[in-house]
Amino acid sequence: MTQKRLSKVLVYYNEEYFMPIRFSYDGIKIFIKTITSNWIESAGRERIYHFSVLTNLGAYNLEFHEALKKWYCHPSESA
Amino acid sequence: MTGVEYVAHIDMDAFFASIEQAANPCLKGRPIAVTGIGKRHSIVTSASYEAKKFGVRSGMPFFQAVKLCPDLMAVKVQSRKYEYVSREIMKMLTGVSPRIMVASIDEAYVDLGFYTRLEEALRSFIKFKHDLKESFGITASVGVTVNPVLSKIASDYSKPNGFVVVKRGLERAFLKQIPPGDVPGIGKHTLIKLESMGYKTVGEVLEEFERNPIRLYTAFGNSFLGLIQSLTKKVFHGRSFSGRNRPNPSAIP
Repeated sequence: MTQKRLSKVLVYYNEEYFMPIRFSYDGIKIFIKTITSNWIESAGRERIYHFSVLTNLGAYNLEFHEALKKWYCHPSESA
Repeated sequence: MTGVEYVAHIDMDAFFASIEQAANPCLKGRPIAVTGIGKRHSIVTSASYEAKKFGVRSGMPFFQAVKLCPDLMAVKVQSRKYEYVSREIMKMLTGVSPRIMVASIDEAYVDLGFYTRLEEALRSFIKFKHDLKESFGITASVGVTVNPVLSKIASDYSKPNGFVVVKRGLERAFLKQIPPGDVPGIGKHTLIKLESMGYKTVGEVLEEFERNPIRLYTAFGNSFLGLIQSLTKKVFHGRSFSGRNRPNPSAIP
């Protein structure tokens, strides 16, 4: 099972929305080709923004935890 | 001016599996099962159409599903994600008509009394199906008839991505093709009894009901007759469609 890891993410941001453009995983900078889906998880006041993205290295999931102001990343998996 | 007296049933096709396939294009076209990974006796919550071809069904233990489809891929269930997508879809559906009734996380009924012409309503549904594909990458099947039970049968009739409209007066012609097992409310035991009495379609049961209702009454009782009768009548009155309801939490894994 792959671990969720802290990630540095380059983000496009305007007043209406934001979207990741590039992120790092295992020290590798990975460019996002497409955002295939996104959804918001609400737990009380806290919000977690989820992005499923497609890159040259495969599919990844990115999460932005609003309260922590941190990004997490893990490859999409199936068994 | 009064609106059209039709009700639509919308049912998402392999909802959870389709969401996962849309999120990860590597899963597209492959047999997948949405399940709790890591649990020995995980249950298949949703199977993609590619997996369904092998006989994999929702509610089946995962180990049994793998026996049927050795290439089956397990994808971890993410209930919060499905709840979010469902809420967004139901919001989108209120664009078709403000009078909707959410039946579960992946199905809803829509009262089309909001429209004065059926064609307008159908155009809105074509747009809804297009928007659904564009926004979420998934498809839904739609059934439009004069009553909710028939609409549900119609939406199941040409899954996936179906669109079946049964105009008033054509209910019987449509039901002539429907096996009794496809009617919600007809269970396993009733089905066995119907088959043993020689009824192969709902149309045949309806004909028998008109010729000899006593025979059906003695065999199946009053509630069955009520169900059969309701299929061709406009039993829908729209009172339960007062607003957008929340999905039933028990329908969410």
